[in-house]
Amino acid sequence: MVKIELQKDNILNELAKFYDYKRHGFMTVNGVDLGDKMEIQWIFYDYSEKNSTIVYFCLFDYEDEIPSVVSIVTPAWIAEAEVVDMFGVNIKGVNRGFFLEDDSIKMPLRKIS
Amino acid sequence: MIQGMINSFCNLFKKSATIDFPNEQMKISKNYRGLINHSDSDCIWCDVCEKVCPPGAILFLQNMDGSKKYNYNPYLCIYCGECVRNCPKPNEALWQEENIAFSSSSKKEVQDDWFSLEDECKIARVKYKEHKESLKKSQKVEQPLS
Amino acid sequence: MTKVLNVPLGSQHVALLEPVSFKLTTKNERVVEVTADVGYVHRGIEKACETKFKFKQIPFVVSRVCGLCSITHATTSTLAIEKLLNLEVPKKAKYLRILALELDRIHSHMLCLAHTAENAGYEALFMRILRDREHVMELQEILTGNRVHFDYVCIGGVNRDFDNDLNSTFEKYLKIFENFTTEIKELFLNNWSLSLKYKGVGAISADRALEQSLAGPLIRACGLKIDVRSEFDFLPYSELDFNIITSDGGDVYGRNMVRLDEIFESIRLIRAVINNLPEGDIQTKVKGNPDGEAIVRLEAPRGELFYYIKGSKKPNLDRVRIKTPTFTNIPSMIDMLKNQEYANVPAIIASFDPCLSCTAK
Ligand code: SF4
Ligand code: SF4
Repeated sequence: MVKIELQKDNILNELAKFYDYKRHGFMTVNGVDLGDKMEIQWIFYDYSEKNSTIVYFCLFDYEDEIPSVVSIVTPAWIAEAEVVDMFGVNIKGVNRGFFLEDDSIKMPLRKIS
Repeated sequence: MIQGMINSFCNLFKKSATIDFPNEQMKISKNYRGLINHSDSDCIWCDVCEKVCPPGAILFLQNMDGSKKYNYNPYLCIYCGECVRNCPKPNEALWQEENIAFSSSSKKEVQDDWFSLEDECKIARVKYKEHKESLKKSQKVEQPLS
Repeated sequence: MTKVLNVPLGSQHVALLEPVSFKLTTKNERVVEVTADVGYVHRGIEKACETKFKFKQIPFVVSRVCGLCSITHATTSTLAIEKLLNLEVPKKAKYLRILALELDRIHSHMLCLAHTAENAGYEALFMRILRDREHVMELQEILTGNRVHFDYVCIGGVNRDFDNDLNSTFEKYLKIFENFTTEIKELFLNNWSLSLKYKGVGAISADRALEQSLAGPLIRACGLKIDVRSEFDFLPYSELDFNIITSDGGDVYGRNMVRLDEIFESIRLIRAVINNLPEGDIQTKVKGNPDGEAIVRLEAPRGELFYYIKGSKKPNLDRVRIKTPTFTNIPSMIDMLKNQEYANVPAIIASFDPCLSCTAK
């Protein structure tokens, strides 16, 4: 597992440089609540390599606006919708309500101390 | 087409694939994971089975005299066998038989009061702990006197 | 004259058994716009794994995510936890895990084939495939003791040993499997509706499939050799001469063919496991608590299953992220439905073999 940290302002640039859909498979967007910050991970793998997992991650505050990577990775919208519903974070251009209905609990996976 | 007609004609006389239930019993294979059984006389009351059980289908109700009562809910059990594998005395204190729980329609049988029993067990444990501590204290107080 | 109609499909619909709803906008019976909603059966399993259950109980909990690929969920989470514990699993246990996984794949593929047949109008073929599938369930019951949720894999190995007297039982059952799969394959190859009519329906090009990161039998039906079983060596698939099954066309017919051939491949793998079964223990002792992050991918019947597990030396895990195969495939499903005849929609959805309660977990 290769883990690469990204800075908040050049996430899209770095991912656009890296991602080539013919070579890399996109796995998912993952969120991890660290207690005071959110870690958002974009997870890829390489079709041609064995045992490859490439994780790009970036730390955000809860209120930060997270850029959406749909323009680079087409099928990422569904994973982004899940992260938004589960953690209540703010990803640009993603609405709530895809995974959870309006009347269900809000942001179930947040660690609220 | 002729083959098809022969096939459908033959199918008329074939045995049906389903089981004719009340008349014929379901086939249960050897070592099927069925109900959990417990023996009061062999158990050492270590509570391991209660702790490892994923859904919490085993509960021990603490009595004030120190003994415990074993409770088992076959309708909550997922038949994983984890309790038996972890029991220090498997096949003596706790074992899994090959029979399955029967479906039931009455509320009493499906142990509708299981969740109140869960609370009861928790309260009983706390009470027993307090009871034991107070017993210890009173013993300590008594000792210097004698 | 074009007529625009909005047609809802699901949730609770005769043509779609899964808890998902699609809103299709059709123009002269051709689908032009699709929106989907999947969140009907969210059960909070990820949350439960983080708060309620200890890590030793996680395989039992996550196997309840899905009724069809429960063993895959249990195995993937177990592999991830073992990675965090630095546990070396005995070789025999690894082989037995492959055995259980491949049996599971057979019955899951059969269910999908049954559904595609049903959507072509063959109710009788659906019943027939399910009748044959019953044999697979019986064999699973003999191996693991349970019919659906096997609870066969545990952290450190597997729960039950493979007795040598099971060899003949397995051989008997594998013969039955081979016979009925040959019969079904013949039907799928020669029947007019199942072969000719399904050619070209729901087709996706290899390029588009890569762009959408499709997974499982769907991408292999486009002729691409992508299979997690050959990419990772958590389980010793490479020792068993595992072949990747592909087909071409990327349509419903191609997917059916991939699934049928994978059943044969699974039968071959099961034989190979039984013939090469190493001697030794089936379990190791578990010590310590998981620490760190691990990502494990495994090939489920429907595609790749992904687990991210994070622990911090506590009995409870910090984060469990489950990504199910259907979750990856939904974007391309929506993409594929566009520009199709409305009447083909149920067949296309069935060919995806969607498992929505997995997706919503
Ligand atoms: S079999 Fe599993 S669920 Fe049932 S009582 Fe034992 S540990 Fe609990
Ligand atoms: S694990 Fe066995 S010995 Fe311990 S309490 Fe349970 S039944 Fe009794």
